[in-house]
Amino acid sequence: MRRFSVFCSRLVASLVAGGLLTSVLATNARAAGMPQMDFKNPLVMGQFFWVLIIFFCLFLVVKFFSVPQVEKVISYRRSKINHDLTSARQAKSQADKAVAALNKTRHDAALEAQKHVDSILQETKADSAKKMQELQVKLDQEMKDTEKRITEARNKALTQVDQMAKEVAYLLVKKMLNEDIDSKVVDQKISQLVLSSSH
Amino acid sequence: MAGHSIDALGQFELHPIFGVLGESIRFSQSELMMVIAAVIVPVAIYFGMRRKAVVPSRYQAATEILYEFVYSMAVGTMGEKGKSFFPFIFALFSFILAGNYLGLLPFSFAFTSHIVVTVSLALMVFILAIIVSLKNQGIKFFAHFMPVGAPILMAPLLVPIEILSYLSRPISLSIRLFANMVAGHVMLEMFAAFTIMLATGLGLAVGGFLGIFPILLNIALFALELLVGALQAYVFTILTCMYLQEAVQH
Repeated sequence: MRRFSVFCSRLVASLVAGGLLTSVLATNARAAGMPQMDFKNPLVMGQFFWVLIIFFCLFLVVKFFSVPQVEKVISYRRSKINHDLTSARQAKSQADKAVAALNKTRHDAALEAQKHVDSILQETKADSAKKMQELQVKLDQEMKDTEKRITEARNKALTQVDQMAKEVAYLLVKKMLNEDIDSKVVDQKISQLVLSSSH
Repeated sequence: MAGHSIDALGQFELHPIFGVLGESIRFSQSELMMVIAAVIVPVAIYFGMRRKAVVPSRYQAATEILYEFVYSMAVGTMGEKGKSFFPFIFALFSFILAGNYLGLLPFSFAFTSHIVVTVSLALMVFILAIIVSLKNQGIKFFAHFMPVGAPILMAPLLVPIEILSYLSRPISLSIRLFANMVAGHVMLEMFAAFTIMLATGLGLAVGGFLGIFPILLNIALFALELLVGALQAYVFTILTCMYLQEAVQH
């Protein structure tokens, strides 16, 4: 492959060199006079003015027709892009405003809900405190009533204990003495004992 | 092969067209190609921009790219003042480009391969730059021939050099375009003729086979000429922009 590429490059180089050599030899005859340098030829010198005239015509057409045509399309596109960009910016601004309003509404609603929750909580607390207070009063009342009833029951029991003690004492004394005794004496003695013990 | 010869310069000879009328008004195939180039440019732009589409087709996009390319060249070099010269720059670029490319077509003629044409265009640019300079800068225009900061004693040496440098502009501008186009067409002609010489000199079998190589080389040269044609049009135009930029600045 390498040999082939070397062969090809040598072949091309020799062809180029041969071509150049041949052309140089062949054009030697003409080297003395390039047609472009034949200034005596009226056609050669005629180009000097023709190119100016034709270029000036092209310049006028380009200036008053071609350039405005391209410019018009480009400026229209630029204005359209600018207009679209402005619309997009406005839409974005409106969207931002809407999002801000939504956020504000949400924030206000959250605040309102929190207030509502707080007020309900406070009401509930106050209500429960009031109920607790009422319950406490009721409990206190019931406690008082209960204590009163207990006291009454105790007093009542104590009065019964006195009678029972008198009867038990009368029976014990009667059993021990094995004779009837005056119950009044026993009652008197028991009453004295109870009184002394209560003091 | 000794009997054969390659007439590489014969392609540049001018012949009058339209008979006696062409001869009397000195209208040759070169002028015809100039007219065709001058017609092709606005017609191509017209058909390119005919649809006026906001989303351009390939043809319209190519036209707009050409427009934007020359516009950015003019405004990029000359600034905002370049806008007023833009039609001139655009016409110049498209005229030279069309001329260079038309010359690559078979049986066509490259009018930019004639020194008279390129000198004419270069002188037009040169004189325009001088007029614009004098209009914008007045008498200060001549101050440019003395470099800023140079000692005054050096003036007798520097001023003639600067004037010579300035006067050489149209010469370099014209010869660059002319020489490039001539060289390219001479090369194309030589290798094309060499193929024929091989085929006729060595026989159709051997010569025809060997003739493939100059043809391949010619294809490569043609591609190179496409590049050179665009490049030379660009160089001519960008130098014009630079000369005008110097002219419009204060």
